[in-house]
Amino acid sequence: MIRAFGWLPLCGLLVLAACAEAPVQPAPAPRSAAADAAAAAAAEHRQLARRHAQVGDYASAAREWHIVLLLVPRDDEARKEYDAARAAIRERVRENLQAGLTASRNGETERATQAMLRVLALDPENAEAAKVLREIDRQRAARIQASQAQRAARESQASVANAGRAAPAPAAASEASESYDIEQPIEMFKAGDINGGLRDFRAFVDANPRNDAARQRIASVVYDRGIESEQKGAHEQALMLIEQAVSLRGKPVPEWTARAQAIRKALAEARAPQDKR
Amino acid sequence: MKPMLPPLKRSPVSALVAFTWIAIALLVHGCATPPKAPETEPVVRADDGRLLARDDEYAIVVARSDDSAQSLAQQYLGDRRKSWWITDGNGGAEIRPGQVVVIPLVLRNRIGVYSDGFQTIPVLCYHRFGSRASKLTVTPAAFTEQMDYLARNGYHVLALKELGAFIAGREALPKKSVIITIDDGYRATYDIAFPILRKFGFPATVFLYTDFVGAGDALTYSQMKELIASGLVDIQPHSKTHSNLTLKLPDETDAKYRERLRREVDTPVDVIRDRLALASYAYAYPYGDVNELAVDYLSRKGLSLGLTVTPGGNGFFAYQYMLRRTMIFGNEDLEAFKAKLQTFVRTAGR
Repeated sequence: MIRAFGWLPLCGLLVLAACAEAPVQPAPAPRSAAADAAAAAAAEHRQLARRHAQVGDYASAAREWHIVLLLVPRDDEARKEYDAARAAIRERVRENLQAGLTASRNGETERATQAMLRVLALDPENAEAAKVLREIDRQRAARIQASQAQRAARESQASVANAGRAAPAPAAASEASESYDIEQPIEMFKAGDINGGLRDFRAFVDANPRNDAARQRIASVVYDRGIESEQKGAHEQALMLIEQAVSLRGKPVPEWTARAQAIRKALAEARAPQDKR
Repeated sequence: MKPMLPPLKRSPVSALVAFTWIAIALLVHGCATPPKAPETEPVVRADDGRLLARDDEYAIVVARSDDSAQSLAQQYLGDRRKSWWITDGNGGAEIRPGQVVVIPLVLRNRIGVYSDGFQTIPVLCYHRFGSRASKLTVTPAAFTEQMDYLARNGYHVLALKELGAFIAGREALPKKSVIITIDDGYRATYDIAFPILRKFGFPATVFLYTDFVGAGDALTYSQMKELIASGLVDIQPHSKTHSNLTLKLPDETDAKYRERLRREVDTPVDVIRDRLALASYAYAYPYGDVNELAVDYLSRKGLSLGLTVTPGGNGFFAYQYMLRRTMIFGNEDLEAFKAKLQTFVRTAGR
């Protein structure tokens, strides 16, 4: 009897336990307009971050993941992606800085410039990259000025000879100040600063689209360099230069176009056996 | 095979104890609060009715109907003029009510270098203004058209001084920033250019060669004071006599050349200080020509910027004593003017 009675509270307890129900969580309050806006913004920035990362723009990707994490702090995927973008930045900064310093030491200014710009795009506060770029620009500007000074001296001597005077005329603003034009980039281009020269030519042509004589001169210089490259067997560079020459000229030059086509064909033929392999 | 463990002794007491523990465990489990699901919903901190989130670098807000980039810049950045931080960071468009706006509270990228290229600041160089256009004379109509183009197309016309902070890496500048300079000190700067600049609220720097003052078509000091008082125009040195600093005169000894160079740098700085109470920080080289010796004199005189007439924009890394400046010619049309506004240079890629 006692034994049977002893089981009773136990059974009661079991029944109670079985019937026990977890307390119901309070129903979530309807999401406010601000929360909806935040969710939509987070989705938008998430998408932007992925797009930036896909094209290798890790600085922008990291920025976008940062914004996503601000909006959704416990988004584990965003945290992982953010950390990955930061790691990619560190890695690429290291690689490009190394490449830029090597190029700079070897006097390859254009390559050094591009590498340092890549470093700064990822790490805008990188003092070493900024220093290299500043030094390259200082040297470049000094070269332009040196060439400008030589030309000014020649003009001055010619003017003295023509006027039979002992000194250049005292200067108010004169048309001479327009003569900055294309001499410096041409000299730099001829001296081997191909990319810098091309950039300056393009800027000049964009600024003076109707200066036919100057375009003719610039384009001829670039074309000549292209032919020189072709003769040295640098066909890809030759093609690039001749195409640039055609574009800078702004008018069709059948001979140049034919030359470019011939090089293109030769390059394609040279590649064909490799492709088959 | 022997069992590893001794068989359980099933006494009623031990069974009762076991059942009691099971019941307690079930009860505790039933009453327990379930763990929180991982948070994937946005955190909304609507403390001022629009702030969604904020840390040291960004504030994210939902714009209200009365918000603009200027009002948000005033509230979150403490300066309405920093509204471009907000517009540049949000696609450049106007702020719409309900839009989620990301406000950068600090600008880490002050140098304008991005994965696809870098920012450059063009410095435009004018000389004379007059009714008959020539290479160095721009008509009032053309100048108005050019300023109107800048105003309508989102260009920020900045004071030259701001360029110094940019190339030193101290201050970021808005995308599409442009600087206006006017060389020599012609009276037409006062008669023609200034009213147009004032209409648009655009600042400009006049580079004065001081021996010119007193000539018939030159600015007078009282006109220059009026220009300065407007808060839009700054006057800076452009030499004493406008002679080419890189040319040594026939029979000029090194010592005499150095002495002449020193005068060409020092005199206009001193005159501008004494007559106009202005400190000089920038120098435009006559004809845009300069050499290292002239740079040395500029530096000794405390000048921090030197401007040439090599065309193109200035990246943050531009050499401070050989800055590029693009001449604006009176015989060119608006298309040519537009082509000179180089504010971004695309690079080869990543």
